Amino acid sequence: EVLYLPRPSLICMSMATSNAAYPLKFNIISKCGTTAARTAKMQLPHATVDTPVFMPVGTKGSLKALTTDELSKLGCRIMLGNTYHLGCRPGPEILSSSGGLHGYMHWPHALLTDSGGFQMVSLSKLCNIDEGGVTFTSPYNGTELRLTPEESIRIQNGIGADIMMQLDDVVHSSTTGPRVKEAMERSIRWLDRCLAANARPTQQCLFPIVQGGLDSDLRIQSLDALASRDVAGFAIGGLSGGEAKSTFWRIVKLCTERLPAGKPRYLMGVGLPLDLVVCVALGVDMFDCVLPTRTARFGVALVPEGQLQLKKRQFETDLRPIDDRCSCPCCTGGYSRAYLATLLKEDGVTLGCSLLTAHNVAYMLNLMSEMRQSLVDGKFSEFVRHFFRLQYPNPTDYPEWAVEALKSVGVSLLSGEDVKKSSCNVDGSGDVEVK
Amino acid sequence: MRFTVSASSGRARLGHLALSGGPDHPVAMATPGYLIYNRCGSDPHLPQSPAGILLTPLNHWLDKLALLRQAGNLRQLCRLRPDRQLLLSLTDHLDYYPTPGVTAQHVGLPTRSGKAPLTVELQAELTLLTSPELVQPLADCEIRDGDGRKRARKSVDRSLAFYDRFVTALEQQGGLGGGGPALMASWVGGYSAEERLRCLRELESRGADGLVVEGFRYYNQPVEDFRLAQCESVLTEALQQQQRSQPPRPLYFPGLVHPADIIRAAELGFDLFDGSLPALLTRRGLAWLTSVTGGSWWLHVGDVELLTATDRPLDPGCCCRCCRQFSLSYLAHLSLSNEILASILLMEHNSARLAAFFNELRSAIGSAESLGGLATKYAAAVVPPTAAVAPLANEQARLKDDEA
Repeated sequence: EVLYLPRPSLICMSMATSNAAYPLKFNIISKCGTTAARTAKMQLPHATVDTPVFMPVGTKGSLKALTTDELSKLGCRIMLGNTYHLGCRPGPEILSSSGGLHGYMHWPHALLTDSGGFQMVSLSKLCNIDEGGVTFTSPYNGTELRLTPEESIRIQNGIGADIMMQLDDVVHSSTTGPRVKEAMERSIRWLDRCLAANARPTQQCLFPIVQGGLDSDLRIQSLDALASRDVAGFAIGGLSGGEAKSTFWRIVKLCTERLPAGKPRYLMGVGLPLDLVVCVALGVDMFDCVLPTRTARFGVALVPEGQLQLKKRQFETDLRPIDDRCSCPCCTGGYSRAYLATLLKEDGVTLGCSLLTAHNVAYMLNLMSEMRQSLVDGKFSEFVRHFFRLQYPNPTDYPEWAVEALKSVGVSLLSGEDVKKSSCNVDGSGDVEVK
Repeated sequence: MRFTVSASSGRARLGHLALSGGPDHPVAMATPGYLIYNRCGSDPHLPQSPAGILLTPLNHWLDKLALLRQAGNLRQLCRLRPDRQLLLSLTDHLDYYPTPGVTAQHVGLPTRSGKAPLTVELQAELTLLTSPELVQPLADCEIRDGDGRKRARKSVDRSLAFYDRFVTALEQQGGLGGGGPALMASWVGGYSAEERLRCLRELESRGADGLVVEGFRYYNQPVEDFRLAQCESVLTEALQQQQRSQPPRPLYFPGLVHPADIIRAAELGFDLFDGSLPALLTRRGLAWLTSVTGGSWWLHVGDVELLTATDRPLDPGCCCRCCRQFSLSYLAHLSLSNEILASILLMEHNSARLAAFFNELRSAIGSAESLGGLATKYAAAVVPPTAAVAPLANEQARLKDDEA
């Protein structure tokens, strides 16, 4: 008879007895001589993570169609879990009695959880925010629930992720007016409540989230307040909601310039490969996005040249692998585009989704790996130019915002040489011309 | 293909089926055994089908002929490892009913985009493209409730004619002889014992390498509703009147999913079954347990009550990865969340369970007492009707069920 034992939280390293105020060590290995990019090693209780890093999203405690073994073999060392969904079901009590989410889903490496705030606002039908917290209706059973900073941290403590996010007062990036300031200021007060509520400060660290919408003054206020707290790292929030890209990059740069250099910067909910490359140049260290897993379910493969929509007619007899330069199990296994399309269209067969998810995640992880290597080799600008040439065969198609953003940190995509770095303000004033 | 019988108990027999699979990769299986259910070369929920004989129904491929011809080789296209050999059959018994549409020239097979005609010539071409070790020549497998002897006679006549023409077509294309596939002939004849006997004799006189039982499950009868009792008397009457052939030929009975029926069919002398039960159970969110628990062999994992089961696996008696690594709570959580991983883990368990069941069956054939005891043990092992249990959400529901 097989004796089943519940697994305790797997291999928690000796961070608990470290002298640091929090269980995270961030050591920069190499900085780009031109841009603000840097590569570092981030030590967490469950893993050492090389940055810049892309974190796949395993929303409900599983990455779509991939087992944790497969994800680990792709080189992933940190992934996301979603507090909103996991808090509703199975809930923090079940998770903590299973050794946290690590034990529950059998993931030995690092985890990061968001606060639940974003989904609460975007998924709930009714949502009332006051100084105490947020009252909303659960989409699972329609009951009224209340999420406060203390409750969010209680749930996240139960989940047990290496990095937790503060509960912030979330506003959509298109919101303007006094609500933005109110939310930014309230988020600071909620940060302090979250820090005080952390029952496991030597095992789980907490990142504050910089807010302030698209207003640079508000952002600066938020940055100054947050940077004065003794925390392990910082997240930049409120910037993946479809705002104009020309404003997006300016806010990112504003934040990275003012945040402490020796701590990691996490840009939440970003993004496409192009966004990753530009934002690494601007000084971001951590990213998360559902892109690779979501597009896989729709039959879309990520490649250096863009995307392949495998379910389209043109791939029906295409016997090439997705990308013969790729070393993921799907491409090295010789699965052709046509066969993948066949599998994806076959109801009840999951292999196509598994293979494509593995490929897309591998693509994102490999992109980050190439960026890290180029930073170590001192060739980051060259890498950036090479990336753009693959994505946009015609230089006139280079997105304007990306050209400007990179120019502001000294990389000229069009001339092929690095230029003097220029200062640039959010409102467009400064050296860089705003069209 | 070589089939040998090593022991028997009544009509039940232990056998060994060996396929050449090329000189470096012989494939062998013990019988009674099962073929590996798959669709388009893939197990429904596992990254790699287990080694063995893959049941490869042609109806899945008839709407993908352009791709097959372009690839020129099904094994290469599907990245099949050498230890997976193929039995090229006609229709997937799990999801498709033998649909009407047989003429003297073709058999209509059901595909996702409607009925597609299979002719002798097309099947011969596809046989060469797929390089199976075993092939089921096309046959008239239709049956409707109420069909009489006349219809049964016609199905036998047509099937024999198809068989002969297929053999000729294969010979002409150079696909027979030492390197060619073994022929698993369809044993048809409806519910007429006389026609069944006639078909049996005709096929044995043609030297068919094995037999596939067809034409008992009615058009529009769901697979779980089909029970061996429906046709047992006709089968036994025909089998009893026919001497067991020497050398022995493997008898394959597809479309039997209930474990109780599989045991009974093994007692009647059948050697091969389709391994579709794990797929059937998994997509309905059912796990097959090692022993009866709470009065049932089956556990519906997508049950909110199971979320508190953090201290135990799905099945304490099972050693599959799902039961070794995860709690029942996690599996329930995944299932309730419509996560694909739920199907993957459940399929691993159900596949392991089926393998264990067949081990038990083979061990029991050796004494009538053991076999009788096994039949008693699994007498209630009947998959509940579909309406009784809500299935795991299908792909469309999954696509809608998105993260923020």
